[in-house]
Amino acid sequence: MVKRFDKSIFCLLVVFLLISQQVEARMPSANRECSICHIMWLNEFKRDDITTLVPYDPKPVVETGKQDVSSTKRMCFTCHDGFINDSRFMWKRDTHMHPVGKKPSNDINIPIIEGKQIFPLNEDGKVYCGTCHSAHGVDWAQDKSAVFMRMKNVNSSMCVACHKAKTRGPKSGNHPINVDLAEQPTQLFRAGSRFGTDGRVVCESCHMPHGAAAEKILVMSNKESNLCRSCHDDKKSINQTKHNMALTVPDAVNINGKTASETGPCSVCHIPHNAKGAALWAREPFESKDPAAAPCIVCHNDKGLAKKKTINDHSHPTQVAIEELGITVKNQQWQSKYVEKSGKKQKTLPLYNASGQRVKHGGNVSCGTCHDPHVWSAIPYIPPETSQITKQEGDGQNSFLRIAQGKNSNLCMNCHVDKKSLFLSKHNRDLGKKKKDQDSNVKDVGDIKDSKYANYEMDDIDDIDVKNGNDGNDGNDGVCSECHFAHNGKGPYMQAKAGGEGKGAIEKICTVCHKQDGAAGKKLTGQHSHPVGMSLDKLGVKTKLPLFTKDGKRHPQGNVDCATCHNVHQWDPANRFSRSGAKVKVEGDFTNSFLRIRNTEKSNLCTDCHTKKKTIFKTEHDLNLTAPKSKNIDGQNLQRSGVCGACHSVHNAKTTVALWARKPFAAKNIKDALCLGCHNVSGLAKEKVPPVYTHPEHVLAWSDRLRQFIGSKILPDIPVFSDQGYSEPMGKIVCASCHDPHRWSARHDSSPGKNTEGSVLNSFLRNSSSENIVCADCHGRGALFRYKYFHSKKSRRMYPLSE
Amino acid sequence: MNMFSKYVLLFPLILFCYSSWLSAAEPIPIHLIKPLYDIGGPKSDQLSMPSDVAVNNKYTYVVDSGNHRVVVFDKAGGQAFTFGKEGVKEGEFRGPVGIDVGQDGKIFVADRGNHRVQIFDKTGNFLASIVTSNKKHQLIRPIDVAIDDKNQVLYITGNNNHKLMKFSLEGYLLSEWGGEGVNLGSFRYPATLTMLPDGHIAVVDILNTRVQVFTEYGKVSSQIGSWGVLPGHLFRPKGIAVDMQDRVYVSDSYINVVQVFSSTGHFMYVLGDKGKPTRMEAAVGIAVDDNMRLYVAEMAEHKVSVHQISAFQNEE
Repeated sequence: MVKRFDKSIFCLLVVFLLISQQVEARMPSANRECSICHIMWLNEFKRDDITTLVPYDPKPVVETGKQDVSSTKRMCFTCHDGFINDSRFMWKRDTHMHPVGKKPSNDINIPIIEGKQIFPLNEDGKVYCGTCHSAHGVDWAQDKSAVFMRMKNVNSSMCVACHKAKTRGPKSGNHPINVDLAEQPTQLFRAGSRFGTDGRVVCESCHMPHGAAAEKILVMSNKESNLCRSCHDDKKSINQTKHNMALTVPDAVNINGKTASETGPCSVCHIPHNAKGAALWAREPFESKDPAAAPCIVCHNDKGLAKKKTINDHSHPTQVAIEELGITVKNQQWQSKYVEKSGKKQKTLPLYNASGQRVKHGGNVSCGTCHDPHVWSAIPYIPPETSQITKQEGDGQNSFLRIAQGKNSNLCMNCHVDKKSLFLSKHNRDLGKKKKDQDSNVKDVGDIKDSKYANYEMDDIDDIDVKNGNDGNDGNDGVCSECHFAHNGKGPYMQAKAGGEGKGAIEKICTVCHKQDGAAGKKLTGQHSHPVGMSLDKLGVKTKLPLFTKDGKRHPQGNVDCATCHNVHQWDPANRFSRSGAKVKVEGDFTNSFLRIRNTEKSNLCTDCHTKKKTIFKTEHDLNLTAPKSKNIDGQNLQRSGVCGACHSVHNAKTTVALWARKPFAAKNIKDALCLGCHNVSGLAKEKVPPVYTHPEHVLAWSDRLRQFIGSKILPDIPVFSDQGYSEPMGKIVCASCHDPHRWSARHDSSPGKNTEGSVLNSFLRNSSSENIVCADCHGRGALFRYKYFHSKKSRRMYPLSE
Repeated sequence: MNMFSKYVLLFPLILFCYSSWLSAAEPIPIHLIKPLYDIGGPKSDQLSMPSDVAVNNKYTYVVDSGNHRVVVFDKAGGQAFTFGKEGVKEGEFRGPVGIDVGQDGKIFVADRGNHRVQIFDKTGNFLASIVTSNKKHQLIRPIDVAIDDKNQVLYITGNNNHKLMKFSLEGYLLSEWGGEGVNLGSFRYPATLTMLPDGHIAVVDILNTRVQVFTEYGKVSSQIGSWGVLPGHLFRPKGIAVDMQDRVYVSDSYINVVQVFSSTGHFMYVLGDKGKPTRMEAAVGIAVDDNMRLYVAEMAEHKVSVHQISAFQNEE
């Protein structure tokens, strides 16, 4: 029994010893594949009888904080040292790596799935290697993302997961991502940049979480903006310009408090993250109606760094849709509705949306449309010495313009395609200039045949050599600058010169040249010209022609001005390509003369406003019908003058009344004189000469308006006139009192045609049966008799009036 | 005293003895080494992430992998000359790892990133390049190279094919052995290798945590080390060297020690001092010269530490 007991005791003892040997399992598994990294899971650490080569310390405190040994830098390095995987370049430059050993900032939003952060922090709540890396992460079979990551990292999706605020693009002040690059820069590839699907820019195109070459874990140092320039190589010439802040304002700091010398030339104005406003702006924001212009104005204002280069109210407008110029933009391809013969398309210039971002379709004009602030000159030039750059003054050939203006204002013409016709007109100042040829003989270039434009169609104007453009600023600024300054104009339409006079704002621009001693001193509007500055509303007239406010802006309720009828940029309204006006001494007519509409035949320009006068056509007063070979006072026949122009001259008429374009008859009352100019025995209307054309002069009649005022009764239209021809409340009865020369019949608008004999119902009478209404007021029942007597050939012949 | 009482008295005694025995853990067998000097270091820009070291009686050749070059030092630790730079042209490197020196002074460098082994004369002038590709002409990333001076062949370990390859000096692939696996003869990331005096080739097999010894015909003759963290175990073996007495030295880049094995694979010592292993930060390539100096490339410390190995017991 005792022996059995002894044996039992011994067995229990052995079991006890064995059990005491058994230490509670600390780790899930000592499986070899697990303990390749989880070294502390090895069973050797459970034994007390042996000394391990490394001490048991499953959660060591390392430089990143307290964490599992499996994701310490030391463990990672055992495989990534080139002997298994080669990450040596990362370790070599481990001073620039994704921050570890730090708690995430408030900007970081670690995504949570099923209550757990996808990217765990270590025991101290800090980022560590295991935050992003895990052998249990992405499926080994998927090949677009490195293994040992906690999630797929296609197109930097891992970065984006936490740094979501950095991915919202320029609107939120961040560099755009997922944009296509036509070509990935070689230097970036060499530096270790990664690009996304189809070569798109992703976070890792600029940043490397390990082994970065520079601070902010950039793939290369950006001290001299080299990283920026890798993609934005076209911007590098900024160094030789006044926009190199390191030269011009070395002490100026960006919103991060950095100077140009500290950040490089790019970062003083642009920062890739947390920027202010459009263009990733790195300077204090400036309030502007046009967000796209704000980055420029922030310096170019009265108190800004570039206060010597400001713009006034009479400058080229911004936030104007390019469509207003007849240009459609699709996928950055410009197409003007003003098709050129050669089919040449416009150069693509940047356009912006209301937020100030560049757009591919449509868009508005802004500063950046014309100016590239990074490139002083669009054509090759020799930059000045560095010391001279701050003194650099530009002109139309440079000044950060995207297209050199040249003599032909190429930049202006890129958008204002419809204005190109100006070159083939007298408004092209070059046509009137004297030019030195190679032998220095002065030669008058008065005609296009002799000018440099002789062999060019309008389409070719872009190609005309501009090498002679260095003859002063005028040449370099281009033809447009003769009349317009893109900035700091003297008045409406950015007019380049002030000093014009007139009632209309546009008239004041025109008369800068069209005045005595002006450049167009031979082309003056005479004393008797079409009025400007008056509203059409009072006349009850509607027109499709442009009207202008007092400050020169187009407005449907505006006033008539010179530009209502004239398009100063196109000689022949029907043919932009016409070269007929490209002569200094050319005389225009109603078919051209910079009119907006050809004014011949149906006088479409005149009748666009004077619609009620259209009834003249096909009447005896339509000289095109009755006297087509007759000429007006300017020597123009009907083909050149049009129907209206046969009798009226818009400028330089002989009379203010009716702007008469024919020789008046010698009559006391001017209104009668105009009619009798034709209705006399030797006139065009010699067949229609009234024997007594005047109503007794001593009779002053009330006008219908006055009588209506007194009698409050609707009366027929019977205007009475002063001898000077003006309609008066009380005046003389003249031809025009009874006759409306533009309308055959008061009852009908129909046109009777040539050689029509009238009656009391028509005959250009303002009113039918007027004898009973008007004449009877004074003449009573004898009115009809008198009327018939004076208007009937037969009665006059049978019963001539005696003295 | 009956038997029961006797057992009752004996039990605590046995328990005490057993617990005492338990608490007295077996010490790590240490063989003394004394530090001599360091080449480079974290505060020096002399070396960047050295990965391997080779020695002869005149020079110490260090693969300065972070700078993509080879730096040659004299026996006093002074820099003699360098050659190579980052690039793909002849004489340039991309992430070199292993190095060996022939008896004639020719230098062989495993140019991992360029998939080749480059051969230089004893002054560092480029001589030839051997493209490391397999029979299917797939490019292989070489990790280390060893010259068999007797047979004038090169043994090269391949990173992405997990093989030991035998090349002629003219660049022909003569044989290749191994492949990815855990069985004897297979590898999981073969690393450095060295020629043993008997003409066999000892190859470090990193993730199989062993050194496999191959005959010149590719048969495994023995295995050194095993998985674990006890003395004689390996966790991340990287470097290998053999001394004139056929003792095999193996470095471990996680445990950060160098252990000594007999030529037959028996564990002998951990190198150290004052009863403790000498720690070497990320110990990778190692070499032992005829003067029993141990050269350890400590990659994380950007240096090569040089130690004097004391005489072994049977040599005293």
